[in-house]
Parts: sequence; structure tokens; C-alpha cells
Amino acid sequence: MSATFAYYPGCSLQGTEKEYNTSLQLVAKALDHKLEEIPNWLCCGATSAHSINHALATALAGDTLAKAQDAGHSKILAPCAMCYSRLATTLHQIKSDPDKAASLEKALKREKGGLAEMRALSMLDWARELSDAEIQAPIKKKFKGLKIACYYGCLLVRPQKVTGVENAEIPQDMERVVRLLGAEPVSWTMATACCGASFSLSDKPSVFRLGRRVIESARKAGADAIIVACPMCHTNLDMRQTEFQAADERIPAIFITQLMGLAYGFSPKELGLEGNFVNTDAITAALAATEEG
Amino acid sequence: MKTLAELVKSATGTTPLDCYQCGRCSAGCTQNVTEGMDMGPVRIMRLIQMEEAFKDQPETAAEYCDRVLTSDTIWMCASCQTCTQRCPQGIDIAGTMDVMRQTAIQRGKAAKSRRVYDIVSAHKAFINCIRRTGKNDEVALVGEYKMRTGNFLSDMNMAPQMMLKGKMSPFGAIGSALSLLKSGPADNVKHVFEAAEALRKEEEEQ
Repeated sequence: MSATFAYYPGCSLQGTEKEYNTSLQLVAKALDHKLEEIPNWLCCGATSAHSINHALATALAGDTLAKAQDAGHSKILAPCAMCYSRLATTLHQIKSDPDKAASLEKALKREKGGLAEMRALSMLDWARELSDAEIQAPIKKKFKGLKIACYYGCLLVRPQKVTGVENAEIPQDMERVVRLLGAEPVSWTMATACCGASFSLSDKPSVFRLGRRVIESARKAGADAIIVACPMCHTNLDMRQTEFQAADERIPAIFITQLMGLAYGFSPKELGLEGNFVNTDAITAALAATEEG
Repeated sequence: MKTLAELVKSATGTTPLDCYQCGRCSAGCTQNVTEGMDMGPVRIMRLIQMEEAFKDQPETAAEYCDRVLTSDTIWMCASCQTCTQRCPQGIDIAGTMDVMRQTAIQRGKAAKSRRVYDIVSAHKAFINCIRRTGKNDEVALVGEYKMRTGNFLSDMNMAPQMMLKGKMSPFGAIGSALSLLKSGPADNVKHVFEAAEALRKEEEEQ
């Protein structure tokens, strides 16, 4: 079913994690989804703004909501889990407290109101709106015998009152997509654990300790690869993995949109798989085996 | 001066005074269970309650308040939201950590340890990136972080590989480095900093 979204790519998707943007654009096209980029969007402020400047965090999210509203949209697709969380948290605050909505609109000098009526969608929300048949329609080749650890991390699911997920401890949205592509999701313990990405720059011991926990759990569960829907998780579990895991103990981590894209017949190059630090041959090989299927 | 509990109430709509010390937040805390924290979140909640309880004895109250604001714990919190998700009293514990960090900076109480200094520097560098260009420019962010902390060699080993993988372009990197010379806020983001100032003033007046 065709659908149109205001698109908020966020900074990472224009920088080091641009393959998330590239692969999402291809997959959206295959699904007949139109992504209209929000004009002149700004950074969401991420962990830093909400950590030390609450008012700035709220104003940045308000600015994005306002720009999407002015462009005639009501639904914003935010593929980055951090961007999504900032928009969803601010929406939760202004929805549950009309005074906060009024102060934000006043601070941004907006007369028309209605910011609280906007909706932010994460990649999980986006996938949930697709029926099984819709997800399967563009498939050219299915995966065979590929075991996937679906990694949700923190902000796609928590807190539940903000994200609205059905189950914040054992979510199953990505597992459904993986099964529809012919791959097999594994049951593992660290699907919603934190990978420590917010310390990527400032506290390496945390990153290594927490990242390793996730990788080791996926390996123990017999996964061939991890899929993610967050650029920070990807930086951590792919690039940083080469710093904390021995070469023969690594496991590739790719975006859910790259996994979908491979099944939809796009080449690893088109999907930006060569941008990965950890070798992804195990994933592409499982696809080639069923060329005819 | 407002108590910590009052600040949390106005920012999150929930209050640490509802905490009955079940310890579920500490038991599931990403950093606490992997030994990255000096004390778990449940103790922060208790200290905030103690400040409130001793409101009539300012010296004692200030001692409890300082133990929270000068702790490493509030900075080691990864904002993973597990505590907020699991709190049986519905307290926004991760949101409480945000309020503690912001208050620690405002009152000049942030811990003086190297670890905390690095974390605070990264946050300040990030916000300055937004002030200069409206976006987070990863190269400029790393550049300012290095200047603030003197960690010049960290991650330099990754740069060549990142360029090879197309994650960073040498020309882009030069442009980003030059953006460090700008002073802000940039035109595209001025209205947001003004709005933030208006929100902050309004909150202060309440």
C-alpha cells in the first residue's frame, strides 16, 4: 500500500552511517513508500542535549515537529533510534500536559498549535504498519539457513509509555520481518540490553564492556549475524567490535533495511554493505544459495 | 533553591519520593550490573529523599544533595531507560538522572574525576556542534572533544579505515575542521536556542 511520510534522516545517516539511509531509500521505493525529507531539519540534540540542557532538547524536537507540520505532514519517520526517541519523548510530554504544549509553541513563536497531534514513527512502527503480504511482495530471493539475532537496544522499545510497543522486554517486530525473508531469528538474552553507544567517544571501557556482552550473547545463541535499526548501535557493534573482539570471534551487524534490501534483489554494493568493518559474506552467501527460490 | 525532588517533579511529572527502595532499577541497570558505577540508581533515589526529609536542616540537606550531584553515577548512566521501564512506582528514573546532570553542571558540582570530565566534555562539544551548524558534524565533534580533553590519539587509528570505507571524506574532514572556527549560534539554529532560553526562564519562574 502506498504511503507518504515526513522523513527525518538525522545526522548519522548523512555521515558515518549513510548506508542506513541508502538502504532505507531503496527498500521504501520497493514498498511504494514516499519519504519526503523535512526541509532544513536540525539535529535532535541526542543524549547530550537531554543530559545537560533539557530546554534545548525540547526546543530542538519542537522545531522538527513544527517543520514537518508546516510541510503538511502528520507522520514523521525517524530511522535513527535516538532521533525517534527525542521526538517521541517530547510528543509524550506535550500530549500528556497541555501546559507544556502551550509553552513549547509559545517559545517557538507558533500561533497555529497542534504540535501535539503529530506522530513519530520508529522503524518498528513502520514495520508494524506493513502486512505480511506487503513485506513479502518485493522479495526476489529468500534467505536459507541464516540465523539472525534481532537487536533492539534501548530507545526503540523503552520506555513503553513513550514507544507504545506491545512488549518492551521481549519485542518480536524484527523477528517477524526476518521470518518473512526466509531467515531464522534466534532466541537470545541481550536483544534489549544497552550496547553503551552513548559513550562511544567519551568512555571506551563502557563501550567495550557493554558491546562485548551483546556480541557474545549473539554468538552463544548461534547467530550468523545481528540486525539493528539504530546508527549508534551499528557503529558500536560493527566498527567498535573490531576493537573489542578477536578477529575469529566477530559476527557481522547490518541494518534491518540492508537485510530486506538483499532479499528484494538489491546488490550488496547498492546497499552499502562494503561500508561494514566486519565481513558480511556469511549473510550474502545464505542468499545466493537460494537463487531460484 | 529548589530541592532535587522538586526539580525532578517539574521536569518529569514523577517524583523520587514515591520510591520504596525495591532495588529493581539497580538490579537491571546496564552500568551497575557490569560494575561501571560507584552506586546504583536506587541509592540516588534514597539520597534525593533524604535531602527532602532534612529540608528543615539546611546543612544536612545540602550534604545529601552534594552526594548526588558530585557522584560518578549520574554521569555513568547510559540513558538506556531500563530503570524507567521497570520501576513499579512509575518513577522516571532515567529522567531523574538527566535532571541531576543538568543541575550538577548549573551548580558547578560535577565530579572532578577524569572519567566524568571526559563525558561532560563530549556533551559540551556535541552541543557546540549544533550551535555552530545546526547539525552534529562527527569530525568537528571529535575535533572539539580532543581539544577539550587532550585525548589527541584516541580513535586516530580508525580514521584511515573510515576513509577507505567511505564513512568519511578527507575534504569533508577539512571543511568540518574549519567549522570549528565559527562562533554561533548559526542563523538556521538561532531561533531554537532562543526558544530554549524562553523555556528555561519559564521553568525557573514556576
